[in-house]
Amino acid sequence: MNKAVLLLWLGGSAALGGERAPTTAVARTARALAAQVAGSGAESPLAVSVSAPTPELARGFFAALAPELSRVGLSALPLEAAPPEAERAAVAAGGRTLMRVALSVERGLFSARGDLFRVRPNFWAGVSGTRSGPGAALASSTEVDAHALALAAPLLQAPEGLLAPLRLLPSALVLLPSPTAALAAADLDGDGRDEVVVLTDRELQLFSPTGTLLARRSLRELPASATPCREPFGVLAVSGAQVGYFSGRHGRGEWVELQGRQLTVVGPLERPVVAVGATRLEGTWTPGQNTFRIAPLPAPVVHAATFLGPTGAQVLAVLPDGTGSWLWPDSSRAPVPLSALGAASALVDLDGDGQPELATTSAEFLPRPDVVRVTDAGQAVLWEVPLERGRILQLVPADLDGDRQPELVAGVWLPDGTAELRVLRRAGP
Amino acid sequence: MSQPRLLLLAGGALALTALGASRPRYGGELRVVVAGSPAPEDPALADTPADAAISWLTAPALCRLDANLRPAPVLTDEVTRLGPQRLRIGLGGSRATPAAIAERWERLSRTATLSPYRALLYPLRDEGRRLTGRVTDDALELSLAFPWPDLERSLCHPALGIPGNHGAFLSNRARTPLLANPAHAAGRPFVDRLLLAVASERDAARRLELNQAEVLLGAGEDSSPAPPPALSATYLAYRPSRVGASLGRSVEAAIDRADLTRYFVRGPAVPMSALLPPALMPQPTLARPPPPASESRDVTLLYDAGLDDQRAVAERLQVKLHDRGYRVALKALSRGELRRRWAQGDFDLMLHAVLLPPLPGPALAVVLDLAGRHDLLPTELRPIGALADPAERDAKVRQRAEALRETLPLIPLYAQGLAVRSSSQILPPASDGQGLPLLDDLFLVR
Repeated sequence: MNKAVLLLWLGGSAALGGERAPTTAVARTARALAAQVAGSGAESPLAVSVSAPTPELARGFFAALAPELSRVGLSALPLEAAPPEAERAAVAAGGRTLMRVALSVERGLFSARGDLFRVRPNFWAGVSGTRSGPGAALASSTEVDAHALALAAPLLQAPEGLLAPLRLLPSALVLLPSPTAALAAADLDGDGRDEVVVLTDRELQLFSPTGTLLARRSLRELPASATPCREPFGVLAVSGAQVGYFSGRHGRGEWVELQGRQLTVVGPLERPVVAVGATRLEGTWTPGQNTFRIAPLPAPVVHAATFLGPTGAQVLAVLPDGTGSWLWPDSSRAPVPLSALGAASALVDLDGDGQPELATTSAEFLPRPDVVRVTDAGQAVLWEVPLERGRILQLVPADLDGDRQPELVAGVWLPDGTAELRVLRRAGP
Repeated sequence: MSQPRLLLLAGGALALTALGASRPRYGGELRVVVAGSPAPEDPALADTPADAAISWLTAPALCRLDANLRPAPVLTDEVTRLGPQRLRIGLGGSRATPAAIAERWERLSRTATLSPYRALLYPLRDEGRRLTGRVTDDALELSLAFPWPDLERSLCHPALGIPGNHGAFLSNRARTPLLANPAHAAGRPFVDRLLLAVASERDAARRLELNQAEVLLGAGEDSSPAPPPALSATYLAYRPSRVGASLGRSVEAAIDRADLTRYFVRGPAVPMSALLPPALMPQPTLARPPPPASESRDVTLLYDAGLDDQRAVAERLQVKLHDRGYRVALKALSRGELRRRWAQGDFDLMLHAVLLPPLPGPALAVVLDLAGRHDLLPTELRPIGALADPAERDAKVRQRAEALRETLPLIPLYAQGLAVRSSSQILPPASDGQGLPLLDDLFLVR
């Protein structure tokens, strides 16, 4: 792709036509900001300083903004200088107004925040450089899309010897008041994108791919367990359109279905369950502990993850001591013994070859920092991503943007006792 | 795992290498050694932090205050306000029956078992003395006699603990080893057994060094990342009718509180010159008053036989008051007997420790009761409870505590926290809002 074509693409539809509604988050935000600038009475030319997580996003945003400003009769000068030096650079470039914008991609939103003020020296102010003329605070947010995510994804260099660099963007999806007991993802409303199901000690919650709460169900009516678990712990299983949940603090669970914006109960769940496609494997809790036993797994596990691919079903079992097994229920392959697994582990096909990789976290109780590792069945590390803060309790694959490439959703226990769902989005090499 | 525990773990500076699939592991035996004397079995007699920490294992209260002083359920499903002055304590998931709780709390107000901690329940209608009529199968409904926003948090005090196999560990006659209670409403502890030992300070420290214990309570320097608040307050109570009104001034003229905490009592300890400890209110700098005219009196000073600190302070007071003309006889009593004598008002002088809640209002209530001024509770607590803003309420409490300081037959001496040391076999235990280590949250890492 040559540079001109790339710029055109970066700018999205805003660069293509005057009155056509912008189709990308970047273009929508650029148009919203241009309108705010026009309304502020700013003088042209505008020197524009954009700070963003990646240079690609900053440049792409300017490419979308410049035509929008032109549409409202303002010309824009791009500044390379960082905000502390931007004012001087704006004056040097001949700008009359400085527009400073910071871009972020967090919790499902693409946001632009900043200000603008006049930088043309006031002759009568002498050397003090008093600011005069119009000024304004600027802010606009819109739901993030794949276009913005691709621009914002930093290039993570793979450790030496690894297959390929992986572009991943860790971002916050949802903040939760209490730690997650279990996590799952599935397309429950049939829109081609997965929703995220969260179980806590007190309720079951269903979130949209962008982190909007779609439905919730309180666990208050369920009987308390005779032997509750001290930790937030439970199981979630998705079987067809049904979600089975069972909290370790309650005496039984339920199968529920999403009907409209309601999670409707379709049946009781008397035992912890793992779903492999349409097959439901029921087990038994270890009384009062954070493990359950489930056939055909040989010992109580802290977590069992499943993968259903073109070559059949695969199961990952994680034992309390951090060891585990990678199993093929149809016995097509011998089980692979594993070690150094975190309870947050998943089977996920990140490279799109149809075969799952193993995604796991640190096996230490209190890792600093916690790390998501993607390995092959032989546990050779393919990719590694450190977490900024907190401890990962669960990890599940989810296709949040409908591109048939899974992201990883992590349930993270934060130092302040709350929790967060973080998404590790694959943005392509 | 409770939130305070998580906060500590996340804030701590440990790099654990134990592999456990990143979750705590179950099993094993935790050995806890306490420097001092055996803890009393009755939670209402657990006046020191070490006693309360041990008592909590088998007889917890309904809830536990976290490090931010928010109540976290232990035996309750939830505590809900049905109205401004009505409270429902749901107990669906607990083996502690509402009737057992009501009976236990009523006990604090009975003549034979009177306790200054009854003041925590004073805002309830009938002062919490007739609760058994307000129970259902799975809930206890409480009515308040006047607004008292701190009630829910007051109910987390260890003295309101409920004995009877409701705790994280099952109590037994020998008291050790304590076995994990799989039916504990907050979840069974991670370890299978807790071995409890009592030793002298020196022996206890040696056991920890020789890896014969994982936790040492009550000796040495506290090794926890955030020192717990010193809320075990010791007062000298006196009966003016027996010892004369000038005793208070004589004691103030004779003692140096900083000396007591430096040389005579076990740390962590802080001098306490106000009615409430430094953790709850600023301490005034008291100018030592001129000694009153020397009196010639024979008095008896009662103290707790189980607390070496009190013996040392009693001996110090004996010497100091002798110079003022008081011939002080010392008498050591068991905790239960000491409490009985206090309830009957049958003493000249008495050293009395109480474990104050970490909330100024409820703490003042306990201190007023301890001073024998139960009659002051309605006039003092109602205006405090009427203030909805917590900061205003606490400021009012401090103002009243300052005003009442000279009028009560109670001389504040010092406040103590609990030193906790742990071995490398466990993570250092976090403390709750009361300053007690969360022993039931510990697990072995190697």
